Amino acid sequence: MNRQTIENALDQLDLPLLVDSWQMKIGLDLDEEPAIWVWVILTRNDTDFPTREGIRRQVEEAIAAVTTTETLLGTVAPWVFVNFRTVDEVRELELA
Amino acid sequence: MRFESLSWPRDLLEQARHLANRERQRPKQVSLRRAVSAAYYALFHLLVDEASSFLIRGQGRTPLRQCLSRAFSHADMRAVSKGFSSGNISNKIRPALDGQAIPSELCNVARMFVALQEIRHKADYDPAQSLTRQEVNNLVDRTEQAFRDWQAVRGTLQADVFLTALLAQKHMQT
Repeated sequence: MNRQTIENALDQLDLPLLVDSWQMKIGLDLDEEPAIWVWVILTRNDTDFPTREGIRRQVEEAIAAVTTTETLLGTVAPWVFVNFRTVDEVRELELA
Repeated sequence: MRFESLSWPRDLLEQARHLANRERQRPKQVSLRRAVSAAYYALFHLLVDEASSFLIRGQGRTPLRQCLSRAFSHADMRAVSKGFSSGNISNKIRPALDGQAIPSELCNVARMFVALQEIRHKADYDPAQSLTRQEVNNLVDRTEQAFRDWQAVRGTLQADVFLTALLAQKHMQT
């Protein structure tokens, strides 16, 4: 799993204008299996659920496209957790 | 009677929403963390209740269902949910699907269970973890969607297999 490859995949996504940026962390989940956490940073806090779901699926599919591996035992892919924060919230977290 | 136990998951979900938005201005981390925990347990208890009711039917069996409900393991449920949501279903239970594909709604329920358990663990045990209101409200939204998705598939073969697997897959022989 290559961090740069994943970042490139996310950078190439055609996301709505209300998406300001994204943050990513790679690590191990509770099962100590490879996992990726992505926070999509929104410019506003009133984005409706269907829009967020659409963005979430875009991000998951983009990451799956560059991280999924076919093996003799089946498909292997890191677990991807996508969530959302607003620009204001990120700023508050950084100041805390 | 089932209506008593069904209201508990929904009450937990309502509590999660309330906690996520409790403070008018800046939310307290303790409120957001408890909201995540409430959302997780809402889905956990929904699935445990559904599985217990599916496995033990009939009137006069409420005490027995309640006993059975304490046999479910968070880790085992996570393992099953990972399998159902990724398409890597254990060979122990796969024959029971009789070749039927997993509906997208059931995938979503399973996926949401894994996601909620992951963040709930951090919310409850990692003091360095910080949450935001947008983050938690999104999780509550997704949990509400998981409840709707479950209603769309409950009673299907695939849903019944999933419920059975949540409790028994680990103990099945291959």
